[in-house]
Amino acid sequence: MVDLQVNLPVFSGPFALLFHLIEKAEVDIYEISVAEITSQYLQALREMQELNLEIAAEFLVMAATLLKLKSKKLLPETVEVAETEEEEMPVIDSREELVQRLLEYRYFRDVAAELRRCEAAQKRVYIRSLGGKALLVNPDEEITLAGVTLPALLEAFQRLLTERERQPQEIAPDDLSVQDKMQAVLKAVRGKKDGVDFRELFSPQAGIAEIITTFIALLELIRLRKIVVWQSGPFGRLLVMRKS
Amino acid sequence: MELKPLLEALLFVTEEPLPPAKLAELVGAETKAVRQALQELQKEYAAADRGLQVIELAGGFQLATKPEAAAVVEKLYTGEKSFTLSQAALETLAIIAYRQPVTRVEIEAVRGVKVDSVLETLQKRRFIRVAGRKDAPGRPVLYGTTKEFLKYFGLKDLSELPQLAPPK
Repeated sequence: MVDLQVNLPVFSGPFALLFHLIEKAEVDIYEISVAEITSQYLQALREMQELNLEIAAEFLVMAATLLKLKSKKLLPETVEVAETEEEEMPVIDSREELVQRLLEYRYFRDVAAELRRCEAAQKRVYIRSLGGKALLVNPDEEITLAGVTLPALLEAFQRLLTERERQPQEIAPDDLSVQDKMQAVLKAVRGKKDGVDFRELFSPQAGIAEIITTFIALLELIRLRKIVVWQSGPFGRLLVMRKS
Repeated sequence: MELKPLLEALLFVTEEPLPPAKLAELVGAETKAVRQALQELQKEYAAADRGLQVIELAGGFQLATKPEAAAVVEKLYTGEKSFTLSQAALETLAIIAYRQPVTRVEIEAVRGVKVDSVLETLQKRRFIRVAGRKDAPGRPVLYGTTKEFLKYFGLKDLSELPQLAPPK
């Protein structure tokens, strides 16, 4: 059996639908009649309903807005309708405002069309891909854990914790701060071109609290892109180095 | 080896556009000389008998195939670039690109629809990023475009965005 295919324009929002109607009616935006556009809009929604298309709430909000504009015209000017609105979407209160919003929307719709052309043009251009192994270039929007996965880093941390747990603990005054530890880590890796072993950052006397603080400092430095962590291979040593 | 062939080699291997300053650092030359050599390379590759071009993208340079070769390249890499952005995503990106930094509510005001899920998708694809918070009640998140955005649309920088008469 042949599948029945129906091609319908898909509207990205109520403004897109409004534009479709305005263009179909070949009316100048500045000349639109609220009554006219409202009935066309409602008719379009009805057709969508008949086709069992799900109508997003925003389309109904626009319908209500249009009806409000239309009814306002019918009321004597002196009558002020008390409004208590808590909508997130800005309210359209007059025909002029509707025109303004339509114009603004059209601008960005046109920009989007331009971007679509750029997208198509760029699709025809191919760039080399080595499979993500460039060492020198770090895309500046990426946090780099060069060759180290987060689980690997956590595993190293956990190993450290379980090892230290068994040692006698000395209760020290709580004067640890992540800030200080960040400075300490930066100092430890300064000038070390080949990096510093992850374990060396934790002094043998360090208690659990200090280890945790140091680890948080390490994560913070990675986030701030001050350092990178590098692993030579699976189960290899974790090296911490300054980011150039 | 001289400057130009060295640059050519770097532009060939790189996966990310290389800014002139970075190239200068790599080859140990003045940025000015690098720019000059890049221009020469660009001219040489522009010749009709070359299949590659030196493109300027997101503030850097890189070797890429010429669009005229696309049909043949696609025979080798089928479906490489089949992804296209939805109309909703494109409209949202257009607003962010021109109005950045911009809040979600401001975008929704223009489009007349909720954009939560579109923003999420765009963020996942790294076309947009959180660019700070607005100094307004609730400190709403501000969005801006990324380098990835420029690369995807083949733009040098934001000033290269298509210029249209602004809305009155």
